[in-house]
Amino acid sequence: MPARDASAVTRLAVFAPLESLGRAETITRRLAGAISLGLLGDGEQLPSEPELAARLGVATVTVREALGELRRQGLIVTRRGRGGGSFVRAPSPGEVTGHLRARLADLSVEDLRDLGDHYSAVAAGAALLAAERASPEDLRRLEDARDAFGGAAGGEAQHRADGWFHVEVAAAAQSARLTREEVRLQTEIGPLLWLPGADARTRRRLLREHRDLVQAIAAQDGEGAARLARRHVTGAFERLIELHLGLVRP
Amino acid sequence: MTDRLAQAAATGADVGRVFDAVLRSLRRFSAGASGAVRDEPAPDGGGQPGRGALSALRAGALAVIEEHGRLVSGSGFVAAPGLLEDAPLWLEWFHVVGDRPPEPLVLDLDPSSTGFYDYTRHPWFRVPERTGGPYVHGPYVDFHGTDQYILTMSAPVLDGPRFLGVTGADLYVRRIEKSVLPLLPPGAVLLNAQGRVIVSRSARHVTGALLRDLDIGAVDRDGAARARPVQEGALAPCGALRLYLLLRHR
Repeated sequence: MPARDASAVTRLAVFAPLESLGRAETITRRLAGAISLGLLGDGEQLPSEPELAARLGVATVTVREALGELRRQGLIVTRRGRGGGSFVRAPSPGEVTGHLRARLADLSVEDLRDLGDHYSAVAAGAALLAAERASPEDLRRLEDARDAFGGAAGGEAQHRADGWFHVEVAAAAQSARLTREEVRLQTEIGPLLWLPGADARTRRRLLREHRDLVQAIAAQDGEGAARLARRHVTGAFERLIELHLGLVRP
Repeated sequence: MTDRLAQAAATGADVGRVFDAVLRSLRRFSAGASGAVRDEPAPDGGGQPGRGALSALRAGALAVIEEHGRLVSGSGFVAAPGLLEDAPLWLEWFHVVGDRPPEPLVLDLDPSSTGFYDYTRHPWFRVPERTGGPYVHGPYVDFHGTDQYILTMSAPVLDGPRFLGVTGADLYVRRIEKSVLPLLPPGAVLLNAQGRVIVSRSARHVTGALLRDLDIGAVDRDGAARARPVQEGALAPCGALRLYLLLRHR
């Protein structure tokens, strides 16, 4: 009986070791993201399997599974013997852009709008709570992150500084869940959001928006902060949707 | 009001004992760490010890976790910059993940790396360095490590006047609540020095909220650190760290 089978399968999942539930996939995605962002450089040696397991807080077999997948994706190469180990094989900037463009073309406007809705709900919620709860110490950290974005040179450094700024907003909201969600969304769509690039004009506007947001949080203006955060995210997705539309030829 | 002041003072003392017990363990760990660093010969027979010297501190960190297993999720020694011959920054930190025994926490301490974790910027390191006294930082969202809402306690490791580093302990806020909430009468709120709620027996002032207008300084003003009337109720110190108990007006 199918119903019974389904229930048996479900029960198996319930009692499956927590280790195996998507952990390898999470590690694969995180490392692949780090490699495509350049956080792990070409030729860099990854820590050994046991060390990675300890750092990530998972079993060695989970790490092995994740590394196997990265090997299949061509993002690492493994050499045996003395001086061996797993090494990053970073895709060239052209490959990265090509890969991201293909992914963007593959998504629909509805996908992108929905991602944007999700992101702006998180960002606006975090900004609202940050305005209620940020202490002077939190504000100093926000200002540091805002200034780091202003001083960042190069697309990659800007991307990182921008990510840090938004994580600090969520942390100032005192919410571990919103902070984790912010980090997760950045990992998922951060590289796509930066695909259109930021010319000097866009960069000035982003900097101004960050400044306004910090100001609203400092003024404890929750509604203002939420509105600014929402507009900030909506703007980024508008640029992304424009790029998507340009990729899909009529 | 006198009754409320007395009740606030007594509750504050009870709550203070919970944190002071952890602080005592940390101070013991600090004394042991100071001895271990001092007595260890340098790797090249010169003046400074190497990273290897710190492996002797493992037992001290594990003892802090063991003694306060219900409260403490991680503990370790964090070296002052330049203390060690063979690493500019180093920490020997252990943390508990799930039901497994404590594992070493490995962070990126390479200043040239993009994922560099610069602990010298964090208040739990900076304040003991500056004041020579213990410190409690948070509650805060620890997005560099545990991804949880935590409190970090730290104590300096000194060799005479020389600052060698700090010992520290991470406490999950949800575990603090398990230990502290039973001690709180209705209307009682445990706060940090900024007026941030850590544990509360009031649904209107939940964990993470900031009581901006509360005059925390009232308790420390004359150096006597005793219960004081404030506009919101009675405010009392909680032990040796800058933690406070507010007993709200009924």
